Formats: sequence, C-alpha cells, structure tokens
Amino acid sequence: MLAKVGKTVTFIYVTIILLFILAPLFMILLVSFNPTNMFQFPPDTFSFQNYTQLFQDERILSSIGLSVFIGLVSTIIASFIGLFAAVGLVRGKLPGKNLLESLFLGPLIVPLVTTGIGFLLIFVPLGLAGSPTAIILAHSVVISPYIIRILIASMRQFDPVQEEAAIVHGASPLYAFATIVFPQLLPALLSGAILSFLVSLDEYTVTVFLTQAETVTLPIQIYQLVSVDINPVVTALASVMVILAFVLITILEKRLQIHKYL
Amino acid sequence: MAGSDISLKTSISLDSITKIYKGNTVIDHIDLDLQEGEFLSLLGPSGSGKTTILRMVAGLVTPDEGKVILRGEDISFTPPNKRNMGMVFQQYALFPHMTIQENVTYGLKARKLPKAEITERVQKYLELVDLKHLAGRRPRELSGGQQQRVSLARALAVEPVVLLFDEPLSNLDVRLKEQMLKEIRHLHRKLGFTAIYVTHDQNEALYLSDKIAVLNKGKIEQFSSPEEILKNPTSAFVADFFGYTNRIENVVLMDEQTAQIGDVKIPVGHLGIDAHPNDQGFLLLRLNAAQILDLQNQQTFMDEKEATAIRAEIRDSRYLGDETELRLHIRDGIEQEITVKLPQMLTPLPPEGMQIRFRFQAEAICFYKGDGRT
Amino acid sequence: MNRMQRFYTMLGWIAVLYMLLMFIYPVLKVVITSVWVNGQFTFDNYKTIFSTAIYRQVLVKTLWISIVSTFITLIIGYALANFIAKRPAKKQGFWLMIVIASMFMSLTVRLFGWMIVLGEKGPIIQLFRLLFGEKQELTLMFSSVAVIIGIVHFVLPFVVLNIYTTLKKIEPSLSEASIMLGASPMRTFWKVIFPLSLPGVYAGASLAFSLAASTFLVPTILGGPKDSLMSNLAYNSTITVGNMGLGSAISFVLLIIIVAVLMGLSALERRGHHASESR
Repeated sequence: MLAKVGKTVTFIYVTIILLFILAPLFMILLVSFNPTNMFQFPPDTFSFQNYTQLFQDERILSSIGLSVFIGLVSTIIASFIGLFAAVGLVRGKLPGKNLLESLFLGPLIVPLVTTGIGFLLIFVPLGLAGSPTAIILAHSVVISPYIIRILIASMRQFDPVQEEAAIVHGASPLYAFATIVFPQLLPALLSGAILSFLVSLDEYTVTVFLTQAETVTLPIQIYQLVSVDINPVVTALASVMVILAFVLITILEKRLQIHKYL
Repeated sequence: MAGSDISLKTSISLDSITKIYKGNTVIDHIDLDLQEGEFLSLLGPSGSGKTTILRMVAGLVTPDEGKVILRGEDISFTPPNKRNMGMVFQQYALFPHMTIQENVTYGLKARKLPKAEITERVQKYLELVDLKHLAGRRPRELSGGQQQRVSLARALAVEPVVLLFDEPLSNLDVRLKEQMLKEIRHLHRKLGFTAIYVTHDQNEALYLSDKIAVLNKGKIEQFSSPEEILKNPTSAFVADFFGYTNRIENVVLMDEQTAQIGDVKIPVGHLGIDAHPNDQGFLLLRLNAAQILDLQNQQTFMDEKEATAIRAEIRDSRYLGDETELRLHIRDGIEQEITVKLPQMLTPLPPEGMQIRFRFQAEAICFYKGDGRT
Repeated sequence: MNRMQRFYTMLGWIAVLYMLLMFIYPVLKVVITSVWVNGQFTFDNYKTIFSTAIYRQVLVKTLWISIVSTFITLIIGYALANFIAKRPAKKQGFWLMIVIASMFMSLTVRLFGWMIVLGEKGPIIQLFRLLFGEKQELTLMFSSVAVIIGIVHFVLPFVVLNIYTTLKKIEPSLSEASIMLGASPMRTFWKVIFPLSLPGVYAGASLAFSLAASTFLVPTILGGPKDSLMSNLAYNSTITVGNMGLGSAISFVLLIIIVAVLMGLSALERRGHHASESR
C-alpha cells in the first residue's frame, strides 16, 4: 500500500519535471503553425505559412549562413586546441597540470560577459570588432572546453602500449599518432565537435559584445524577432532548430553515450 | 666473434648497461651476448629488471650507462622505429580499430615497403600462425590466444633482427599457454629468428630457450643453458627459482659429495659457487629429493639395515593431480620440515602422524655457503 | 617513449599558448581596464559599484536569484537524477537523452518557448483565468519569477548529469547491504546513498551557481526592467553607456563572486568529507 503511494508520488513528480523540461519546446512546435499571433494559446489558426516564409526571409537566411560559417570555423579551431590540450595534459610533460586543466576549462567558469568585454577590449584596437573573425576567435575559446573535456576522458582510456607497439614496429611518433591515436580519438572528437558547434550556434552573450549590423548571428536574430520586431516566422525557425538539435543529440547519445563525458 | 658461420655470429650484445630510476639502480652493469638464431629467456621475479632490459633492447628505454650493440653497431640511442625489432606484448597491444590483416600489415606500411611485398608477407605470416580465415575480423572478436597469435604475426611480419617477447603468455589460461608455447617453439625452429623472451615462469623458459639469464635485483644471477641451470644452479636464488623449494639450515659441508647436520649425513649433488669442504651453509632440495622406502604407524622400524635412511613423520598430505605431496617432519637430529612430491597417487592418502623412512637423492640437493639471507 | 611524450608536450604547449593569448589575455585586459582610468591607477570604478544604491541592489538581486535558483534546481535535479539512476539500464538512455538534449538545445529558443508559456495569452494564465475568473490578475512574464524559472530550466540538465554520474558510481551492493541489515529504504537513502552522492551535489551546486549568477540571456528575455542582473549591468555600462572601465569592474566583481562561492563550496565539501571520515 505504502509502496504504491510512493510510486504514484514518484510518477507525478517525474511527470511534472518532464513537463517542465519539455513544455517550452512543445509550445514552440505548437505555435509554429499559427501565422497570426505566436503568443496565442491555444493557436486559433493552422497553416504552414511560417515554414514557407522562413525560406524566403533574407535576414534569417543570412543569419543562418553566418552562424553556420562561424560555427564550423570556430569548431575546427577548437577541435585542434582541444586535441592538443588533451594529449598534452594526459600524456605530455607539462608543468602544473591541475592549473592548466583549470585554464582549459576556465571559459566555463569565467562569466561570459567578462570574456565578452575582454574580447571587445582586445579586438577593438585590432580593428576586428564586429568582424566574423573576432566572433570566430571568441567562439573558439568559449566552446573549446566541451571538446577538451570529452577528449581528456577519451585519452585517459587510451592504452599507451599501443603506441609502443606502433613505434617498435617501425612507426615514427607522428605516424603512430596519425594512424593509431588519432583514429581512436576521432569518435570523441566528433561528438565534442558537434556539441561545440551547437554551443557556437546558440552563443549569445559573448557575441552580443562583438556583433554589428553586418554580423547578426542566429541567436541575436531570434532575439530581435522575438522581442523587438515581433515576427511569427521565428517560430518555424525555432522549431527546426529544436528538431535538428534533438536528432543530433539522439545520435550522439545512442552511438557514443556522451553523457559520460559531460 | 670467431668463425664465419652465420649461426655463430653475435646478434646482440649488452655491454655493461645500467638504468637508474629515481635513485634506484634497476639495471646494474649487465653484460649479455646473444648469437644469431638463439632463443634467450630473461627470467626473474617482478622487479628484477627483466622487462627494463627488453625495453632497452627495443629502444623504449635508453640506458644511463653502457651500450646496446646490434651486429657490431652501437644502437644505444637509435630510436626504436629505426631498430627493426618486433615485439609481442603481454596485453597483446593490438590496434583495436584495425582488422587482423591491417594489424599485421602495420609495420610493413610504416616501412613503406612495395605493395606486392606487403601482400605476400602478410599472407605468409597470417598463414604461419593459422589466422588467414580471420584476417577481416577485429581484435575484440578474437579469443585471447588468437589475439596473441596476431600479435606474433605482426612482430614476425617485419622480419625483425631480434624478436622480443614481453611475458606474452601470462594473460592466457593453462591450456592456451601450452598451445602457444608449442607454437612459439615450432616457429623458432622453423624460421630461426633471434629472440629475447621475458618471463617469470621457469617452465616457459626451460621449454623455449637455448640460453636462460636468471635476473635478481637488476643483476644476472646465472646465464647458461637450461640443462646446466637445472643441474647446477650456481646460487640459492636460481635454485629456488627452479624448484629447489626446500631448505635445510645449519649444515656443514664434509666433502664435495656429503653434507652433515648433527650426526646425519646427507648426499649433495651440486655445490654453489665458492663452496668448499668445512664451509657452514644450507641445503636446497627439490620436491623429488626424498625416495620413500617404507611407511608405517610405529615409531621404530624393525630392520635398521639402511644406514643412510632417514626417519620422518608425516605432517600433512594431499593429492596434486596424479601425484602426492607430503609435508615431512624429519627427525634423526635434523628436526626440520620439508615438502616432497611422489610421482604416483598413494592410496590411501597417508594420514598425519604416519612414520616414514626415506633416502635423500643426491642429484636433487644443492649446498650453498652462508645463510643465503643477503 | 620519450619522443612520443615530447611530441605531446609540444602540442600541449601550442594549446596553452592559444589559451593564454585568447583567454587569459582578454580577462587580464578586463582587470586592467577596470583599474586604469584616464592613465591612472584607481579603484574608483569599484567604489562606484559599492556606493551606488542601484548597483548594490543589482548585486544583491543577482545573489539571491542565483541562490534561490540553485536550491530549486538542486532539489528537483536530485529527484530526477535519483529517479533516472534507478531506472532499468535500458530506460536510462531515454531519460539521459532528454536531459542532454535540453542541455544543448538553443537557450534562446527555449527562453522564447517560456515567453509563450508564461505569456499573457499562454496556457498558465489562461488556465488561471478559467479557474478563478477573468477578473483575477496574474502576470508571470517580465518578473523575477520568470527569470528564476528560466534559470532553473537552463541549469537543470547540468545539475542532473552531475548528480546522476555520482549516483551511478555508488556500489549497488551498499544499499543492498544496508537493507539486508534491516534499515528501511528511507534510512538507507539518508544514511548511505545521500552522503555518498554529496560530491555530485556540490559539483552540481557549483555549476548551477556560476551559470545562474553570470546569466545574461535569461533576464534579457524573461525579465522586466527591474530584473537586470550583474551581466546585464555590465553590458549596459560597456555597450549602452560606453563606460568600459565601469563595465569591466562590474564583470570582474561578478567573476570574483563566482570564484569565491566555488571556493567556499569546495571548502565546505572537504570539511564534510573530513567530518564523515573522522566519525
């Protein structure tokens, strides 16, 4: 009897938490079919108008293009940094490894406004403020911890005896790294890179310090369309992003169990 | 080296090599010579330095002093990938993301050999270890024994000047171990490679080797053929390693064949280095050192005809497979315990307290000077 | 293996240099800008922050909103993590996926969703009106409540994952042993499971607090004019007003607060650890 009550209580609170997590996402999917008023619940009309308009809206499309470009380049930079940091920390001979690990994970702790102002301060004298270059460099730092953490975990699992086997049988260190170590780190690197890419696509706080009229990234554009010049097309955009992120995460979790590295 | 016959040429020499880790001398001025085609085992307990020596030959560790000389050339500081060695690891160390075939190909690709030769060699060595049918599999799909054979094929495929084995069988169960031992011996006979084999198992060393180097605390205790080591272990450490597990203390050596404890005379088959008559010392006995004459329940034996017979009381007995192991308390002025093994199953199992009379077997007994505690 | 190690060390140094240049240098520049006004070293910016009532209010508000959000997140996060950890292994994957998906789902988009949910014509207020009549006034958007809801939603997945990971590390045999020895499930939880999961709780709390205290986007989207937090203040000072020194100082105070709280939490954890060991 008591056990049954306990189960019911558990069921209720888990349902509430689940509802809490998913409610805003469902809400967006729901209102995306209402082209008249996106804040109306329940929606009073149903059409795909938002979706068809999404692909005609120049501003949104150029924001998507810019954000994807920034995301890709900054992810590539962060991947190199992450890879170098992970092998250096786990297997290299670096002084003060604990301190260095904090350095690499620091962008997660230092408030984004602090780094944001910092980037503004160093990029303005270089004439880079507002340029995609500045945003790319800033993102590469902010997103790198996600890659580094996954790669450190993956590198710690790697058995160095494989390197010895490669080298004894004739491989140079570089060849051994390229043929033995790197291919085995690749799954972790890829999942870290995808997560970082998602973080870059959604980066608002640092970017807002560096953005200018020509560099309106996707999250800044969404904010504009949600709060300033309200436009229901944004619901379609948001829905696409929700579904895309869900698919990517599902693949990553099913394939690589990324929750173990986060 | 003298002689033009290739089989008598020195393959690898260690010239007074020394390694110090954090102030501890783990390898202490070791000299070793190995002829082409010879199979050498480095035998010793963990911490004796055997693996470090192997890693110095491979180039994974550089000596702090001394030289590693390969076919007359000093390779002490040659990087490992330039030494043309092959190595079989304890944990197999196969590349999990590659197929069996790719694993075997690895060293050949690293050497940038022509494609045709790579294909030919890989086929040859996969066939030799009987794994051709599994060439497309990945290591984790294979059993431990199969994985170790892949590791062997990978090392053989580079046709190394010296083939190195780092305790390759210690992760395998007894039956697989037997099988792999046979296979390694067979391959050595067939291909005639030069090999250095690290192990802590004296049976592996005895079965495979032309030469055995017994190591203790970074030094060589004895370096000779298996027969010689078995028959004549030059130190108590070596004897202990090769099954001389019993110890009788407070013994005086009478002459080269007899030791005495109290009034009892014990025949001695071998003497340790520097042992001379009138030396104080101890005996080490193999498990077959006692030849049982008779068993009975009384304290006294009727006939006292056997002058060399020793009386003892059974303290414990058990079967070991189809053998019988007895723990004996030797009386007759010795008052010490030894363990002996009889090559047959005694039925019924002799009970505790039973009296026994036995004779020492000289060839299973060694005398060593001192108290052996250094 | 020295050569392999040298290779890794070299790569490591490249990464260290990049981070020094692109991360430490900007943060240092923030510190310098905050104390270097018109070519002179001065603490004026910090004095302004602590002597101006509005700034002090924002500081206090940031602290209490972060603390409240952290506690709420810890409570519901622990419940959820504990629930997931007890699921059959196969079903855990589904739950973890939801947690991770909400972690990497665009925050801008999620907060936009909350705008609709909490909005004037959203489901909650509609339901409220249905129950209590049209006359009843209820506003959720642009309030501290909305900001706290947004922060909890943002931080929850991080907390759940941290606690879940430590819960999974606890030997199942421990709670079995406790129950075999006659302890009730409740007692087993409080005496065995909960103390062992504390590292995860502390890690979750640290992460929750630092994310909450430094959030910029949540008050921007869900908060009203009175709900500005430190990050918003720093942004307004630098970008809107153009006072780089003051903005830098505000953001640096925020950094100091976060680091202090993190150090405090880890000290607390160590003390708890010693206490439980000496017991």
